Amino acid sequence: MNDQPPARIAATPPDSRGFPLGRALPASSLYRSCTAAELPFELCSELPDMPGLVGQERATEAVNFAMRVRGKGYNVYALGASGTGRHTLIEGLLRSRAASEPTPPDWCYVNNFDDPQQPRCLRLPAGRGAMLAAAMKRLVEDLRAALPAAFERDDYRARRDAVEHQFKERSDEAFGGVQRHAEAHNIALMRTPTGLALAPTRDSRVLNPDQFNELPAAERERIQHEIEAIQGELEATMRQVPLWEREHREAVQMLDRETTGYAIAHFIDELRHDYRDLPEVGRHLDAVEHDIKENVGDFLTPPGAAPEGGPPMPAPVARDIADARFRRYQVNVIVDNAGGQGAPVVYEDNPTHQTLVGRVEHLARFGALVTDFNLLVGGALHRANGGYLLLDAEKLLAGNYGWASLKRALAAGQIRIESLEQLLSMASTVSLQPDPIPLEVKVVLIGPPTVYYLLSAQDGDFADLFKIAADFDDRVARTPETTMLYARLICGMTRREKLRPLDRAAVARVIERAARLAGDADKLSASLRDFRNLLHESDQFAADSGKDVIGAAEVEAAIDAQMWRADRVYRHLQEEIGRHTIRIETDGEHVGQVNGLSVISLGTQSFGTPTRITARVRLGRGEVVDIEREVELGGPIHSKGVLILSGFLGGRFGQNRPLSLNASLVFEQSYGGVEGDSASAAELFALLSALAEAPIRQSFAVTGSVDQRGQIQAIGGVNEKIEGFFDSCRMTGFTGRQGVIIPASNVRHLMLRRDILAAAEEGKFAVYAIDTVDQGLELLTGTAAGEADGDGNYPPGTLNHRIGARLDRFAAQAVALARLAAPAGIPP
Amino acid sequence: MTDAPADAPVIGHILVSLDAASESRPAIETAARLAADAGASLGGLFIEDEELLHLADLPFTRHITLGTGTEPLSRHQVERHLRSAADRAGRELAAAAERHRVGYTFRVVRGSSADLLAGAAGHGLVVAGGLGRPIGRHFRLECRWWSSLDAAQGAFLLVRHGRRTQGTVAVLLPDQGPASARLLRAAAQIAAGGNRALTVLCPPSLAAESGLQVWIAEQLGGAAAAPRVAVAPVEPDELPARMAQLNCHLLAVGGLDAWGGRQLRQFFDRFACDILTVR
Repeated sequence: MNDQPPARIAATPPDSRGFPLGRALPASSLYRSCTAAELPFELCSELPDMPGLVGQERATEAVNFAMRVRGKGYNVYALGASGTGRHTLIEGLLRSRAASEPTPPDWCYVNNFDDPQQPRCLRLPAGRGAMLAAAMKRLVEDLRAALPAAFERDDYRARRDAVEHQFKERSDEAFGGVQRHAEAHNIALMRTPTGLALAPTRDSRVLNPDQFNELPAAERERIQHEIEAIQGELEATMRQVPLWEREHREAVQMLDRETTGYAIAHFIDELRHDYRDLPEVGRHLDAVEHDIKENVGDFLTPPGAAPEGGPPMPAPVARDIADARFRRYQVNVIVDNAGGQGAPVVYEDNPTHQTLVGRVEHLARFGALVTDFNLLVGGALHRANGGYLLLDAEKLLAGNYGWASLKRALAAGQIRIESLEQLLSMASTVSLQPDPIPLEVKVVLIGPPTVYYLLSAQDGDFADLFKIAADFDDRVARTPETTMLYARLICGMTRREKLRPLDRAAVARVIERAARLAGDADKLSASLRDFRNLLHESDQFAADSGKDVIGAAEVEAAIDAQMWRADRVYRHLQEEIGRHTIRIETDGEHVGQVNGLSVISLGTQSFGTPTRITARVRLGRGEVVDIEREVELGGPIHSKGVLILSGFLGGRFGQNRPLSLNASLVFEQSYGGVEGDSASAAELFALLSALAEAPIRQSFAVTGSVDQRGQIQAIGGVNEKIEGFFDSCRMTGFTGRQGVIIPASNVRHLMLRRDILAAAEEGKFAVYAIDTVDQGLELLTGTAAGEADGDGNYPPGTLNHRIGARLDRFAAQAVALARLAAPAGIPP
Repeated sequence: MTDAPADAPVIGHILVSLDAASESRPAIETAARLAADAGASLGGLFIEDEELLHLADLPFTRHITLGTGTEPLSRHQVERHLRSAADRAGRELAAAAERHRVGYTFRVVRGSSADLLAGAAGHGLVVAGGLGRPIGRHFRLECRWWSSLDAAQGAFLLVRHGRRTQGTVAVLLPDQGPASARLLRAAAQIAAGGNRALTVLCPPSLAAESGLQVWIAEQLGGAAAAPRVAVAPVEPDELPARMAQLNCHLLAVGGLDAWGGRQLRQFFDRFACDILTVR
């Protein structure tokens, strides 16, 4: 109840920041334009390119430092918002430094002739890996021609014949001796299906049992003894056969080795000479030479030759088998730095276990999967070894064991190619275990700050392996210098992207847009992606208009088009406000009701919209009930804001009286979650209005948070919120009295739309800055808030006095009710 | 020019003689290929050597193998091995006939190889493996077919290897008699089937005869390319060098009685050439 006439509001002096508190801000405070003096050129094409990025000195220095430090673990995590040009900047820095660093060596895998399951790695100076591979291929081709020729030569044949003759003679002599001895006693040496036997003969024919039995007993016995004696000889001779065979094999092998050695000597020696500076290669050539000598048969069988007595093979099968025989002499160059200029800089777009550390491939051969060292494939770590590797942190963490494999390689300082099945101990089949390759690489992970902080907190290895954080800012201070650097950045971008040049006004508009995207008139957004998109779209508008230069109109059109494409939901909301489906009053007065402002983010777009906030008070126990919280629609920060209101009430009005009230606050027609404290000032105004029973002008909307002392604090999204209420007023009709009350500390963030500036200049719409609750109350009610005297009393007629009086009445009622209830035993 | 002889061609039927003691696969392969080349019929005859069975019937018989040493040899054992060898020979003949797309017959008989061959000859060409199955790598007992050479009537081919080779066919022609004519025609037919060159080596006296070329042409009847005629070395020891010069892989030997068996075996072993004889 108002028992006093409203007190008049005293004139507010201008704020030290240059704008009046509690009065409409001048249009110049609502937008910070880019002046001609800041952009001393006509066309941006007059400007030189901007090297690097603007305002990222901290991150740049971090990357530069990491590149200089050679200690283990000095890898980099570049954290920052997406689209800020981290990748481009880092790649540029790395490439610039890598160009002056030495080109790393080639890496090859070759057969391990002692254990083919464990291929050996060879390190060769850059470019010589491929040369060795070609030389080995040529060697095999040469030997496939030279060795058969060597074994066809008369001298080999003669020596081989001599060996064969020697052993045949030995056999013939031994068996012949037995045979002759037997024949001398009319006994024949016969071939049985599985061996040899001795048979008594007469007239060169074997005696049958009848003929034998007809012989005199003495003769039979003599024959039998003779046969037994010769049998002993024969048996002794037979026992010699395996030894002779072994000797024969060895003699032939020795002859073949000698022949092979002589035939291949000059080929191998030539290679040895070429690689005499590389002892590892020399050792490999020794092993190759030894293996060729031991397996010269592979070179002597013509391709496609069928096994003896077998049918001829189809040509592809024969070719496959022939090729397979010589695969073990090949050289698998898994890192070829031939032609490399400096250290490599590698970006792996799909960082998984296999793409990082390589893989073991297989061939299907005759229904089986087979592999050898030729099927080892290097990964990004191999390619980047001796240089730099760039990876996207999110992709790395999402990929198949990419992160685990990368950590393992960095921690061990070596790359070990193994299949994922082996890594996870899922396969028990025998596979390759190639020599690990020493790793010396600088890894740069690019990712969002959240991932960096998560890894820092949750991954114990992270701090050891990624010691340098390159922190990219998403905003840059807006100064004359940075403005000019941005102009050069824009200019460079148009050149690189082959876009039309921008005139000065267009550049100014782009820079102003950068400030708006930063949400701060004194800052510029560092999102190069947004710039690039805006330039491309502006260029298209210029093309559509047949212009050779992008002007401010094209930039403006591109911005409008961007917003129009994204604001379908926003326009629907505004339309419903215009149709009063969503009840927002933009004129008149109401007690306990104020227009609050909230920001809704959908995808890349954020927009503001007004929300009716109402407050009701009644006799109670000093509780302020947040209905949003009660129904679990209010987030913790919002709840905190509401609780602060109780603190403010208690601090200002509860020093001399009990706060015997209950208050309820609600966001009307709000059906989703409410979070943040930017509506706490509006809620307080609604509550105080209800207590003072002072109506609030509905032509205002309010945003800002409040502390327990009644000071108004900055909030986010101030531009979107103002624009949201402005659009609502347009829907309901401008009255000339409408405006938005914002925290004074948000004035520097204002970069409002052109139409709002125009409306402000015409006096159709205003923005008010306040620092205290009282300033806001006075604006909203048109009544003086009043200042407390030394005893804490407020002048009559002021809002604070009316609030105090209302609270006194609640307190008195509470005491009276308590007295009534006490005799009946009802607890107070 | 004279008319073609009335009894050409010589090779109308090919009989491949097989047993358990000799290398059968080269003989089978050669016989099937020649049958296909000459359009001749093909028959296989596996001879179960009765002397082996006699041997097995003797009470004290042992046989010695590389794998198991000395062990008794029973008739049952020998018969089982012979059946197994006959089965294998039959399968190999079937496979070779199929490869060369010729029909064939196959039978197994028991007896003496010499007797059976004597009976089977005269029906065309008899083909047999010239190598006994080895004991170990180097020692081979001479196979029975060499002793059958004397008994064989008609054309007899001892085969060393079954693969088709590109060497020449050389004919040692002693005279212009009927046996020589049959030998020449058989050799020419084999050479023509394999697209191999034919060289006729004659003693100087025969080579000097003016009608030799005409006689040769008459025997071949224009069915084959004209052979090269050359003088054979006077000294038998010079013959190997001449054969090496000719890259001879089949030697057709006429006047068999003039050649010792040892010398033929030497050709067979040293030059790895097949030997063709005709009686």
